[in-house]
Amino acid sequence: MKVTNSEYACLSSFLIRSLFFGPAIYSILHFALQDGWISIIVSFILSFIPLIIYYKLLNCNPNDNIVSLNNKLGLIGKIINIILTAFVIFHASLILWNLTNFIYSQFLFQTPLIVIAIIISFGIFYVSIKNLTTIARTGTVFFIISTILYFIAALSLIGKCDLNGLKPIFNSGITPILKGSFSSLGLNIFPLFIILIIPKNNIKNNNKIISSFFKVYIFRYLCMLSVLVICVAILGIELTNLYQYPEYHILKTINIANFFQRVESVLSVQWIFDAVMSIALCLYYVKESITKTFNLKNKFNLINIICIISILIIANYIFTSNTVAETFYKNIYPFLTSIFFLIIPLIILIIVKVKKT
Amino acid sequence: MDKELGKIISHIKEMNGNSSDINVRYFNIHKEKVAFMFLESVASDDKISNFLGKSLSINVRSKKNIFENLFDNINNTIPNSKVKIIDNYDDIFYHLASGFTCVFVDGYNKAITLETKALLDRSVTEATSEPVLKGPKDCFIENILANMGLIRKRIKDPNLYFEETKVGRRTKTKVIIGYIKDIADEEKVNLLKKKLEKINIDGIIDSNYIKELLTDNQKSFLPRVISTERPDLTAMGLLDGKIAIIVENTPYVLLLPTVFADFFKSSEDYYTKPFNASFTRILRYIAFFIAILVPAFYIAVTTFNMEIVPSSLLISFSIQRESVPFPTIIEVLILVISYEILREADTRKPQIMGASISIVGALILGEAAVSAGVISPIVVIVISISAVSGMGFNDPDITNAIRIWRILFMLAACMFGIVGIVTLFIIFITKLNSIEVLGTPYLSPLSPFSLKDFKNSLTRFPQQKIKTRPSYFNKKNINRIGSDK
Amino acid sequence: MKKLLIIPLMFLLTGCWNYRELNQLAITTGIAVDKENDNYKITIMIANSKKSSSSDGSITPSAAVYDGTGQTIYEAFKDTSLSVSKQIYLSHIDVLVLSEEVAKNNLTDVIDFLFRYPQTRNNFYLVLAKDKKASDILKVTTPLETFPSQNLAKNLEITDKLQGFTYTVDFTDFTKSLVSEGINPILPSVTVIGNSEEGNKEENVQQNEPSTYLKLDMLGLFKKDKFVAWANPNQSKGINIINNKIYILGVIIDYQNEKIVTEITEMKTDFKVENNKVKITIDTAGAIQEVNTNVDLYNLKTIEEIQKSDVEKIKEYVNDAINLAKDNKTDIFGFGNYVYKNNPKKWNEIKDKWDDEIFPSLEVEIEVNLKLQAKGSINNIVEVRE
Repeated sequence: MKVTNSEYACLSSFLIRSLFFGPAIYSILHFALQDGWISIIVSFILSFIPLIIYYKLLNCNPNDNIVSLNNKLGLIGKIINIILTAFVIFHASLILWNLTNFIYSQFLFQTPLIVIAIIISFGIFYVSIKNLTTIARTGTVFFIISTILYFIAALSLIGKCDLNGLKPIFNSGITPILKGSFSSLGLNIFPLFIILIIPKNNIKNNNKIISSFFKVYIFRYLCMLSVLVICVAILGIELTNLYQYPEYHILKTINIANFFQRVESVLSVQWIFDAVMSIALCLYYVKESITKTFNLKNKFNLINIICIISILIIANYIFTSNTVAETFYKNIYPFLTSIFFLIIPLIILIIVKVKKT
Repeated sequence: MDKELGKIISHIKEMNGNSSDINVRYFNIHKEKVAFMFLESVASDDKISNFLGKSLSINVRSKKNIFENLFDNINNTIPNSKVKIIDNYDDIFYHLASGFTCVFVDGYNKAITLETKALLDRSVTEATSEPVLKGPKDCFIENILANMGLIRKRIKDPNLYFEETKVGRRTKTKVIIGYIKDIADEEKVNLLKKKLEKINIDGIIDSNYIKELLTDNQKSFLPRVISTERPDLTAMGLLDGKIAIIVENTPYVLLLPTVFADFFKSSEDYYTKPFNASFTRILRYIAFFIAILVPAFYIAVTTFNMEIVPSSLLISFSIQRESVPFPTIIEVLILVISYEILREADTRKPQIMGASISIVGALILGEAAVSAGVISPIVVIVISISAVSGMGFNDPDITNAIRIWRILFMLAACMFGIVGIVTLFIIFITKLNSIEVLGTPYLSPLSPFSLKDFKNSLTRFPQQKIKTRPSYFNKKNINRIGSDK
Repeated sequence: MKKLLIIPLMFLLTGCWNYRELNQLAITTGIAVDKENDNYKITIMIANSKKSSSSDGSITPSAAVYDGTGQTIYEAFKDTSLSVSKQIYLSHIDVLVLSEEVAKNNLTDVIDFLFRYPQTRNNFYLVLAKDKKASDILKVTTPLETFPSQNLAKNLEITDKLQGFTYTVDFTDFTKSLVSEGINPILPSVTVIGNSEEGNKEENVQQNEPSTYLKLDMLGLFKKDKFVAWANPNQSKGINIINNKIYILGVIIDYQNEKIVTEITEMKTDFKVENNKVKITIDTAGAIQEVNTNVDLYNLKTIEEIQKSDVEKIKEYVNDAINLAKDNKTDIFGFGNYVYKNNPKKWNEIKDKWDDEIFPSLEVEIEVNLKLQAKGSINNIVEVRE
């Protein structure tokens, strides 16, 4: 099951952007107000730390993915595996909650939430039961479509940007900017850990991983930065903080030549693609981890079905109200991801290095 | 096999239940009995009397024997290009049914067979199902040797190999695999040969049987193998690195492996200017997606997501909807099904019935339904756009696949609007990506992304610029222009 | 085989919740908000399509007006839906008309409801109703368009570009200037000329000259979210000049007791606020469009004098506008916003006192650079000879 390096990079880009669309932009702007763009640049610089850790984990043992690596460490490794698997399920259900909430509030606002989640789950289930090469190729196609839609949206909106909306600069002070970067790191970068499920030897041309990965990574960062800047520039910071999904609302203002208007439903499809692909990747991680840790066979895709149903249930009942969700994403979740996706890999790395010497 | 002449002949007649087309002629050459047998239905009388009768009667008249026995004598003096010696009954009957004549000599347990086939096929005519304006117009016929010849005369490379097998227990149809040795991928050829060996069926009537039996492990509505009637398309495919499968008694040649982009190419693209060809190809892609998505998009936009439509258009839509009693989905389904019935009737009708069915169809789908208040005019426009876009392909398999996907998308749209269309689109792309024909991914060059292969898939660059063969078919001998490496 | 089981399952989950046929919707094109005895009265204009027995493709939409009252905007909408046989659909609103009373007191209630409701798309125009009730404005029939709300919206769009003294405000822009610091919003207004009772009938548009019609009128100034004053045409021009919203402006000057009209086609305004002083720089270019006196346009001195008079006139407009804003103690130009953006620390100190104390005492310095590019198609005046 081989994956080329460009497909590997495309798959990782979905994990970055899946939570950007709702919670991340909300928390960055609430902490750092109009200096959100500085937050993102700072988080880009700080993101090299987790990336170096992940790269070292990738290189530890080129034949193993993270799950079999953990299994080789003995009992501690298995416990770590179980914890990580549970957290990945939790992460997937959070992404699903975000997407369901978006569709509920904008498109189908009389359908019950669980029904919307079931529809999306059909798509996710079908993607996740295929093998890795198919998921990777699907990822490439969706990456291309997402990029085209993003460029159409960005180019239509650039004429209305008024950079005065970004002033006053540095008004908030250093601490809010750092808080914003931390939440951006926690929600966007740390989930990249999930891509370590693909062993290094399953990637063709694996000496070119770094260059293709970085090209896609920088491109996605620029996308996120430009989306934030356009939102604040067009709507002003107070209004952006008021909206629940500001990126969707600026798409409503597109009006070129009185013809290309009312296109927000079509252009917002890129976020649905991102969310679906990242949940499918999380499911693939869970399936691999359960089959390898407990040596089970995946008959009739039973593991996938159980996971999807559990994700559905968690996503539906986890938050009692919208405000609870917003506070959770803003304050608590970056800490959780930093524990599970930063500190635990660090521990694994240390144990591996200790075992080698 | 027996040695006695009478027993041989009676055995063969019994094998075939004394069929009415077995004919036998006896000779007496220097006091030895010789007989030849042929099946009147497949052998040609002229050839038999010309070659066989004359040569055997010369043998009767000549007094000297050059060879020791009569058998070798006849074997070496018969003026026919294809002579074989056979020694078991099954093979004898196979050759008899293929139009050969068998010569038996009393006392020898072998038979001499020579080719005397009758011409039961039509001649090489113009292609009926894949017309082309400016280009060669000949097409394959039902004779396998003529098909091979049409390809052989276009590619005179000694590396063009044709390998033969027989498939089918009762029909014993000849299947020939053709490929260019140093371009096509060895692994794919071996894989194909193994798959053909595994086929265990009683009869192969058409190349479609082989198409199904080769690709039955993956279920998908879209076609995975090109079947074409045109030798120029086959030659182009062979030069690209594909493998051709020629089946006896059918004019459709299969080309493997296929990718999705191949169904949007037609040989006409290479016979006109590159820019026009690129334009037409891009139009075909747009037409494919229009044909699948437009009815579903219309349903989604008028029932779930009305905010996409501008105000004045929405008001005129709602006025048209006032007069229709059915919900939108039933309206669109009625039209789609009646259009499909009409299309099927149009294909099957004999020429005599002529234009009456088309006129009736146009009346049904057109003015009358709208005036009677059964459907609204905009739905007629939507379905006509979708239907016309779906017909611009030269492979009827694609048109049938579009039919099914169109209905699936409509069902998804009527249940959940745009979200349903997006979910089904995700499933569609995933399904396309999971298809692999002989190891080539179906959505190359898009899916394992390869920019230089776009030159001949999405657009058609001028011949000078297409420097390499598609990298998803083969890895060796990549250069088209310049020397082969 | 398993995949086939999904299909009947999906039929159970059919989204009947959100499925609406088009003819079940009442497509609202205009809303008017009034206040009646402490209750809100909402008037909506619906595109009414009558069911015709033989559909021959002729499309005859017509407008229907319904109203409802309630203590909150939401209740008033629900009350309206009691009289409509279809479901009210708000995605295609063209215009929202507010009466003066609502604008003076309860603007935020209206804004909050419409902003929060997910169906509204926030790109419709807002207008004030001058001297009349808002529902009257919505009911007047117009000859050019089927729906008066569309008529109003198009009128706003076009005059915005051609006149220079109206000001088209989008709902998003309006809310943006409400919530931003240091700037207060403005709205255009519309009024009914003629008898509004007559205007409601079809006969109004069947004459050549309708006796009742709508006309765009002066701009209305707001302080925070309350309506405070009207601006006359000159002041409106000044407001638009400072807000950089002029596309075409006609400047009329007196020269030798007759009038000369210069049409300005480009105008770019920049302002800087420093130390209680505002410096406004205006770069414009224009062409002479109408000359009513006997002047010699070949004479350089004449052109210079005309140019100077134009500059004076523009300065007069701007000063009128600023004086009006100062009198009403409302900063509608965004001077405070400029201070906030460039000097946030100072803004934090003075933001409570800005509107009432500091803004009225700002010194204003205006600099105008006018370039008279052309004189139209002819070089000089049309001289009448014997």
